[in-house]
Amino acid sequence: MPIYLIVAYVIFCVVPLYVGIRNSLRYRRLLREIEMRRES
Amino acid sequence: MMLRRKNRVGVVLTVLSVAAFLGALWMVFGYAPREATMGDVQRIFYFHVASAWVGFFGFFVTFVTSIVYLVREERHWDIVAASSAEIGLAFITMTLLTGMLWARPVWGVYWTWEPRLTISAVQWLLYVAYVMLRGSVASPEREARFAAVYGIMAFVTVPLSWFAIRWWRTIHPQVVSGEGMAMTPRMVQTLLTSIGVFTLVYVTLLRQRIRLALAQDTLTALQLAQES
Repeated sequence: MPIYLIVAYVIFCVVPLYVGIRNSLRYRRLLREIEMRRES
Repeated sequence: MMLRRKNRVGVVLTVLSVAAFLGALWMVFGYAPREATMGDVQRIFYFHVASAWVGFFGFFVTFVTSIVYLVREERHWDIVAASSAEIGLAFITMTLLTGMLWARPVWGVYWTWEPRLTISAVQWLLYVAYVMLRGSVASPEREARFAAVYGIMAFVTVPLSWFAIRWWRTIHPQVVSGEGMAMTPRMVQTLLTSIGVFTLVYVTLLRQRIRLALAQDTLTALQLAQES
């Protein structure tokens, strides 16, 4: 299988996964911060 | 409280997106036939076109919601516009990178300054600037208004990019022409499935990004309330 094809499909898999995980982690961090501020 | 509510829709969308993505991968590598001229490297085509479609669609959503924001001045339209531009940019970045990887074995070069590619490069830079400019203006209302006008103007690159391969002499292939698609039925099915799957991934990511922006707004409001 051509190396260009493999690299292209790694990009197709990694980018949406990265965007999803990064936003999910940021969202959780924000929720924790909101909870902390509400409690204080 | 909305933020605390369990995100069942988000979980369902994520599971569906991952399953559909794996299904589309199977179609690309196990269902679609090997193209006669380019060989296996042509398989980049399916996700490359799907990714470009989602990028364009994302910018279209930004265009529409920016107009609605300017008319109504409601914060949630600005949030959708910003979120959609960010996700559209991620997909257009993938399109550019994988297009270069496809061009190298087929055209012999990673990049050439022909009309479609040049417009795509300008489009990418415009939306990178859009994302970077957001947050750099001190007043949130001014930032939203400025971004809305920018989002409307930057959208001109989408029809330009679409028609570039029809208006000018270009080496970029034309997927849909007046005579339909020059592909076998299995190739067309794989392409349409990929477009559907990428649209689902876009919806999942957009929803998640909107929730993130709403959480950020809640936190900012809390910070302001505690400071005053």
